[in-house]
Amino acid sequence: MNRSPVVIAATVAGLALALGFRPQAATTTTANTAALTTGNANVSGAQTVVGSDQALAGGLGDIQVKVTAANGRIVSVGMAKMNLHGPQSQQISSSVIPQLEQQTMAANGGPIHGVSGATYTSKAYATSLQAALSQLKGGSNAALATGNGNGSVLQPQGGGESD
Amino acid sequence: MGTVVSFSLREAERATDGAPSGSDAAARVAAEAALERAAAKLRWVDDVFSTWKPQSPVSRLRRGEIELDAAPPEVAEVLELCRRVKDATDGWFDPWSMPGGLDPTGLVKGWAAEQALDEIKKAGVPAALINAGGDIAAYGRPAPGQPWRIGIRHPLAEDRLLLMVELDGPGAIATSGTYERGEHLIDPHTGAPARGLLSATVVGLDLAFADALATALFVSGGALLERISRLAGYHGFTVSGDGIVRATRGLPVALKLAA
Repeated sequence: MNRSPVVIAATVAGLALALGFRPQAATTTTANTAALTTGNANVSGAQTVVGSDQALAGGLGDIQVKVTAANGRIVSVGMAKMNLHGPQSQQISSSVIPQLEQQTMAANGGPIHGVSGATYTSKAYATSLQAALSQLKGGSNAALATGNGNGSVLQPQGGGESD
Repeated sequence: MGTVVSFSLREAERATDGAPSGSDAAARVAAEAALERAAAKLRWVDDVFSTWKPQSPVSRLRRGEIELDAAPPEVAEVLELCRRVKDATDGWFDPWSMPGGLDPTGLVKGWAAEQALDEIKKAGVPAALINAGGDIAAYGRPAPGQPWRIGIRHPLAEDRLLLMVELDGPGAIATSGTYERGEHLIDPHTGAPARGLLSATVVGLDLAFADALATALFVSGGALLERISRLAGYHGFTVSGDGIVRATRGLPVALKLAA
């Protein structure tokens, strides 16, 4: 029988992890018992919603968060859009990076189990993510609404940011 | 909100194909209980190590209100790891030279993720991966004969991958950069925000070290690449503002891509 090798996933949203936000008491854990293929949109019955467009502090750009859920559980959280303003955007295009990307795509036959990157902790990210979750809650995703029932879980509570 | 932590757990092998058996259900229950313990551990680490909670032991330590031996023993354990990374990086990682006082945050997230993953491992789950806001640790394999495949995000575009790294068995990946939050990584030698790189990634055996090394590599502007290449079990690469990628020799991804 074919079955997904990774069958349990969980998302702990709202953790501060010494990163600079005070966590809410209502921090929740979503234990995902749905069979799923990790980290991509090939999940049967997956629903992807996109959060509100949020400006980053300091005029750095703007972002939009997307959330994919299947069987009432969050499968992945990522960026639907990320526009960064600044000179590096132009500089990067004539660089080694496109070449590497091409090679990566060519080598990319199988599933991706995770993506490493700088920490997602901007207030804009939190706000857009919350907007996306609210859309899921508005739909028929009862389990998701339960698992992330407190809409303010993802709200930063002041303080600064550090790494 | 802090950050988002996600887990992927591989279910124990079934003896035969077919309907779930009682032992499958028991393994599921054990795994879910382990997930709860892992989440509780992450919250505990935040309560102890947060530099933003005024009453956390680390905050009190920063203000000189308590001595180290009055804090939970894990604080001394983490500071010892910090000291080892400081030595290994010629001081490019230095929690004792931060503008606001002692700040081990650059290592704590990776360390916390390793602690959480350990709860999963102790519960007998054959393979698992934790992604703590883009810093990843894993053990085992997602399926027989398959490595964990980790994309490294393009520093300027969330929906694009720059590289793919494969972890076969235990391993960790951490990325530091300013693209998400602006300039927040401090050069311990000058006390000023670090500039020059878009991102720095370290691949290695332990996420606590990889996390701290990635921070150090970033603030060094890439100067630490040579040093990291000489650390057994660790690799790194940087993306500079002009889009040039520099990597240590033997980075797993480079070999994969060249093939």
